[in-house]
Amino acid sequence: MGCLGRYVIIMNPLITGAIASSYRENLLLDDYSGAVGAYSVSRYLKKDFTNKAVVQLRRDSDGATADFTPTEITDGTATSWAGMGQSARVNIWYDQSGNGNDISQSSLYNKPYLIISGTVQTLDGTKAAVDFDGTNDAIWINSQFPDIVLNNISVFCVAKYDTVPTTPSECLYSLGWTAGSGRFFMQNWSSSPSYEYGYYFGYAGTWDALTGGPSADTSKHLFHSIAGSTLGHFEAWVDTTSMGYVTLSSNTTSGTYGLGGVNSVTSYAFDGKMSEFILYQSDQYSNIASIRSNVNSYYTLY
Amino acid sequence: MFLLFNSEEEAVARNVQAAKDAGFSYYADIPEEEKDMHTIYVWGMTHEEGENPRYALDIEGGQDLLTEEEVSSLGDLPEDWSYEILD
Repeated sequence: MGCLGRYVIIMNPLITGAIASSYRENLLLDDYSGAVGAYSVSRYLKKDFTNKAVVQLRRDSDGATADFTPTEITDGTATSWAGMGQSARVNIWYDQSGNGNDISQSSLYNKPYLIISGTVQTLDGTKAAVDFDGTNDAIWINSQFPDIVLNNISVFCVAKYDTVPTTPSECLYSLGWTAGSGRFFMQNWSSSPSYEYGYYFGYAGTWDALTGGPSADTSKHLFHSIAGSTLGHFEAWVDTTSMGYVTLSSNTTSGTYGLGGVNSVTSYAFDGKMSEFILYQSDQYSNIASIRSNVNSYYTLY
Repeated sequence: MFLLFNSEEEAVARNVQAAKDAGFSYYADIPEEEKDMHTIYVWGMTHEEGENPRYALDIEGGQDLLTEEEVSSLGDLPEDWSYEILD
């Protein structure tokens, strides 16, 4: 009986599941909790989310939808489902933060692709990434994250631009485009006649623009910015290079904003690829080195 | 290519009609709580800044959902279209 009892315990899937879970390595959001939205098509960000779908795709061939894990995106499962040489758009990008803030584009032809002509889009040939076409693809997130408070926020985004320089500029993400007071966005920029080009983090009121970092390129980067009382100002970085900083603003943003565009499908559309976007409505400056290290260990950015 | 309208209501109504014509499941008889993440529109919509803005549907695909008259009227945004520029 005792021997039988041991076998019962070992074979009980609930108990073995709990044991396995306790031995799983912590993921980014297990160590640096508090994100209100966290999206990745390349990896899991939290242990509790492991084995769940990170994205729902909509295939072009017949409009059918299905969920996929990071493994299924890269092992051929998703491309087989899409069909040989076929394409599939991102229908839902699931929130891994645990807050249920899944995001979606409501208009069919503005949904970005993950699979184009039978090929999973990537940052670098290996890490899956959502492809924004630079024309009219965007995912608005203002319904999930309304009225962003500008003096208590952290954003981490792994992405690459497909072309540089660009005119007009292309917006990687916007969390506010409220004229004069409520801006929070990241894009690239070009200037003439000198034809310099670089990255541009916009904050708060007119001309609170950080453009002091590296020249824009088509390489993958961690674009991130923090505003809060721990840091003491608003500052942005491309990988480990600071773009500069400006004074904190206590304004809130409003209107339409999101990933891949400013506030309209025809305004400053992003032409590039995004693997990961994490939003904290808090100042994560005390964790910035560790979060950077986690991201760089996975994506090998610098 | 854009299809122009004088009001938001007209643009939204045309977009919804196209979505129904395309058979989007959002308009089928499904529970309201399941509709959150469904595709609602066929095309993206943009509008002018300022008073009495015009609206436009951004026709990237799905031209088979348009009438012949609508197809013949497709074009770029008008030259006097009012944009909000990056300041």
